Amino acid sequence: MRSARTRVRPGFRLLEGRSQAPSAARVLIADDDAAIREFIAVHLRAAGFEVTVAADGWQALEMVATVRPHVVTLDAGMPGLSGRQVASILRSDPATSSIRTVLLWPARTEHDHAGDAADGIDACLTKPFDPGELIAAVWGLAGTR
Amino acid sequence: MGELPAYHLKRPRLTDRVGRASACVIVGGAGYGKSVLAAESCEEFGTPAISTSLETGGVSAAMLPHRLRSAAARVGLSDLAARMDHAAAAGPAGALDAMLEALCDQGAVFVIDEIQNAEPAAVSLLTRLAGLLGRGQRLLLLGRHVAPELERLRLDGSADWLDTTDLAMSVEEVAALCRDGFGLAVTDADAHRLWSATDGWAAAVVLAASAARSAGRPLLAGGVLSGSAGLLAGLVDQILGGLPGSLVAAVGQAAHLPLLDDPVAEAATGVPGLLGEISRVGLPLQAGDDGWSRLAGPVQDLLTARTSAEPGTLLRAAGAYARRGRPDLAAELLIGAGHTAEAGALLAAMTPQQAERLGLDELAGLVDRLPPAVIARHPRVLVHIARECEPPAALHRRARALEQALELLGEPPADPAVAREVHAELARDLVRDNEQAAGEELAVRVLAQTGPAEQQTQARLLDTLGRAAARTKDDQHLGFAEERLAMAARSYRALGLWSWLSYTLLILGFWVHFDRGAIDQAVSCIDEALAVIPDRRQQRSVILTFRAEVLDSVGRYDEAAASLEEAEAIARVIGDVRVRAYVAWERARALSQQGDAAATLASIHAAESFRSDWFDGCGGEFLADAADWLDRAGYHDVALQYLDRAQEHSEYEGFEVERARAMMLARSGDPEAAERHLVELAASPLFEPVERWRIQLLRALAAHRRGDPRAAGLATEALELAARLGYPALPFLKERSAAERVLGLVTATGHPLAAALEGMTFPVSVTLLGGFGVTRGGRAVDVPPGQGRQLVKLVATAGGRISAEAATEALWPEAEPEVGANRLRTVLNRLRESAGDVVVREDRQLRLAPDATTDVHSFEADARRALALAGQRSLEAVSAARAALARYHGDLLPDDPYEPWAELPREQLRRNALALLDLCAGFAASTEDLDEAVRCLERAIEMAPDEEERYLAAARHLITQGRRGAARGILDRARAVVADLGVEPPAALRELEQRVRGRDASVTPV
Repeated sequence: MRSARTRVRPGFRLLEGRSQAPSAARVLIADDDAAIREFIAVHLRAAGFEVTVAADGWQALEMVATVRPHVVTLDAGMPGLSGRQVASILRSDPATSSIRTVLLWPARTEHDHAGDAADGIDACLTKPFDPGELIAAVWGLAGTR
Repeated sequence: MGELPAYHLKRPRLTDRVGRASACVIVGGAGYGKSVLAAESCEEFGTPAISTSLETGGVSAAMLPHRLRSAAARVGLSDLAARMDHAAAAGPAGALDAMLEALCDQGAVFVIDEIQNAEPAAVSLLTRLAGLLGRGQRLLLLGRHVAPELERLRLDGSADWLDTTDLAMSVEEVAALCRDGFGLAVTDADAHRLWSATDGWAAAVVLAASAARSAGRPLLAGGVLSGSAGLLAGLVDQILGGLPGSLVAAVGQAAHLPLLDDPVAEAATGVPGLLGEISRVGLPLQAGDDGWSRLAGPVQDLLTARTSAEPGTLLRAAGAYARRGRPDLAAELLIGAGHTAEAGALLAAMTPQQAERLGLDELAGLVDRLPPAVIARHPRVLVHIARECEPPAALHRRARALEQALELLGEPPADPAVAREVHAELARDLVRDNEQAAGEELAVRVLAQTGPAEQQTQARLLDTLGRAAARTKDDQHLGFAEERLAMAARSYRALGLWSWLSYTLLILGFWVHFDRGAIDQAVSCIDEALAVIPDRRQQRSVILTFRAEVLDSVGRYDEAAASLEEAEAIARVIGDVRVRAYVAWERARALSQQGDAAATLASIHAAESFRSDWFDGCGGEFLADAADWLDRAGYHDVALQYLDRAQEHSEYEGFEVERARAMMLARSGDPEAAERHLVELAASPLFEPVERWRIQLLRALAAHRRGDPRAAGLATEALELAARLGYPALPFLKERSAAERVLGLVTATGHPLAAALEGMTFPVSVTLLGGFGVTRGGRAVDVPPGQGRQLVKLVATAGGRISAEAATEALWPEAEPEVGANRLRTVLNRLRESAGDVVVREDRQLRLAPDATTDVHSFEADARRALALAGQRSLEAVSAARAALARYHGDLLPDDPYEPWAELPREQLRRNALALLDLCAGFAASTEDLDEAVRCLERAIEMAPDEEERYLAAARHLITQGRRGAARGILDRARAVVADLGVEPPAALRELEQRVRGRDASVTPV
């Protein structure tokens, strides 16, 4: 069983001793699996984030305009528009380029992270991940907005 | 059975009577020596003693077998405990029958103390048990008084009966106890005076002698009080008079605790070293064989009557019991003292693992004693009960417990987190009952409501959601299933919920990775499922059958066979007919793939002979598999009969029946209908991707049979699908006849896969451990006796490769090099003619055929892994060691004892196997699975009979179990070994011999 792996872009410092999410930090969760979506939402909400969910990549892009999230967590394996594609679109549009992204990889896949930064991916986690690691990653990204 | 006290006096006039009867009822007040008599009798019998004491709250018929099961487990009779666990679903009588059956070839004594606390139905069960005892089995029922129903045993002569008249000590016994037990210089007159004062009441005699010895004063020096009760009180007061007041109060409080040891006594009373003080002043403490002590019954009665327990004492003691892993004792203590609210809170706060260790009957027995108001405040106890209701027979009870929990929680629920635990279980039930959509909807809704601290509930929900998704075999659902199950497994691992983790990994490995066609991932996941439960044999045996299915499906027959052998060995020991059926079912699959129709049918019959409740659950699937496999192997008519039976039995397994029907139609039925059925089958969301190639292959066959030109295209697709799984030979392995019939069609298209497959041979497997054999693709290869056979053995033993010169030298040491080379050439040619390419020559090297495997190589790899893991102190080492040992069927080439080239490898392999057996024996002993420890040691002794350490280790375990006769036997064998070696018997051997033989010398019979 692979252990969860976190890759946070250099320069993003995880905040220690936190008690509440960075003020008014909004997170959009995009995952086609309702179970995983809700699981992530439960933990991010409990950590103090304002959470909205999307069931696929297209819906996530639509919701970005209204939600104006600071961080988007993206399932890499969503059908239609993949998580990587959504991240790339967000980064290429000046209106959304400041949104930070966390990509969640499926358990079985091996990943080449070479193109992550260019594709607008700020952090990666592999499923199954520790909710604490996800919160830490989102926290770090939200804190740098 | 408790240990005999150091001052014990043998009383043959009583033990002889007990020994003559198969059942014996011993009735008398506290302190008459009933328990000591039972302990002494058990020592005399030299057979295991399964001993339990029934608590004052009352013991029901349902609880009685559980108590005996726990007693068996306590003394390391792990096989018996496992059998009783397995038989629990058959009800109390069934569990006791299983107990007797497990012990049918060996003696045992069942001791039930405080029989007055048995409820009427439990008494009936004991009466029944008395009538069913086999040879060497005895039943001792001890009580202060007994139920009238037991009188029947006396009246019909089926039990001997001892009462206080028999139990009271004689003057001679009083004198002997004082002199030999306590070292007091007493005259006959002193003894008579004490006997008169006590009426021979053993407790008072012991107390008086103990007080005299501790104080260094004459017997009854503090004055004799009339009447035994007054005497006892006077003696206790005399003894306690030697203690400061604070310690006297602490002793009074400790008397309220059912079992004592230093940490518990200190936690409860705040006095460190209290037990030492009690012993020092002369209050007798009875030591049990489980590390616990208790005050002598009459003393305890006296002290508890004098002072009531302080609530703080009981609560602190309960906490200490719970910390020591005995929540049952804690709850029992609290309930007995009326602190039911605290007992309810304690039971509710248990982890699922603690509840699992307690078991359904024990847990339900405790919960039944809680007032409704307490259960209403702690409905989580009902969730524990529901989770323990796993056997099909208990599902109704599970539903009732969950329903009751919800009612008690109210709406909105008084405790939302517990309500979510209940709903998580309900979602699980919906998925189990094939209501996936409703189960998933409920689980996701509940998951969204959980808080971050509810990790266990979240994991349970993700687990359920994973199982639900895994029922549908398309890529998306299998992807969901994988992620959900992996997340659940991660949490279970973090929470230490090993049993749940193991089953989740099995589902992930079997239903997701295997069905998807990721064979290596499936095996690795299932291996982890085995590794995390090294002490759960029954669960291991079930998982091993699934492992075998995965391995058989890709032709890894040797590994599959090893798993099935291990599963079968466990199932035999614990009497699990379900697993024995699964083993036979799985063997039938492999035999059918290998084309052996008669053996396939025999194995199917074997599975049916183990028919039990598994048949209600998946009988339709079994019958459908049988039909499919018999048809594949060539028994078409019998296959049709099985298909009809499957159809009749297919309430929930319609898909499996349709699958078998479609396959059979393609092979030997109407090819038009086959196409329709196969297309429908492929479109089913239940159809596993790992089998897609098979659909296309049989569609190709059906098309070929009806002259449809699409046959070649379909056959090509089939071969490509199999190749994509990483197993291009799969069609020839699993559907050999069909594959051979359509291969030509693909060859004609010029497809490169066909060309590769035409020249293909199946991998060769060489067996060297426990005997020699060669198979190719699971089918035996005839290697004629002679030099060719020896050459195969030599090359395989050398690790699969040897120089031609070395081989020549080994086989014909006396021959000139040129002569040897000629002989080698001839032998190689003859071998190729008779057995094909088993050994091939490459320049100056001989080697086994490409892809050939040997059991030696597999064993060595597993052994290396196990020993490396053991070096890292990983629990996985045990699972790996068992897997390796399952391959070790015996010495290397036992039929070639004089071949010099086999000697060194044989010894090295044997050393490795011994190291693995020692590892397994050590682990089994550490988990109190003494039966398994002895089995491992016996197997090791058989392999290395000159190494006396293992005899001694086995003897120690047998003594712990109370099997003194067996221990004596193994020590005799050790002594014979030592004598053969001509060395002095080691001190440990002499000490053990003394323990099994010399006890009699330490006491003086009267």
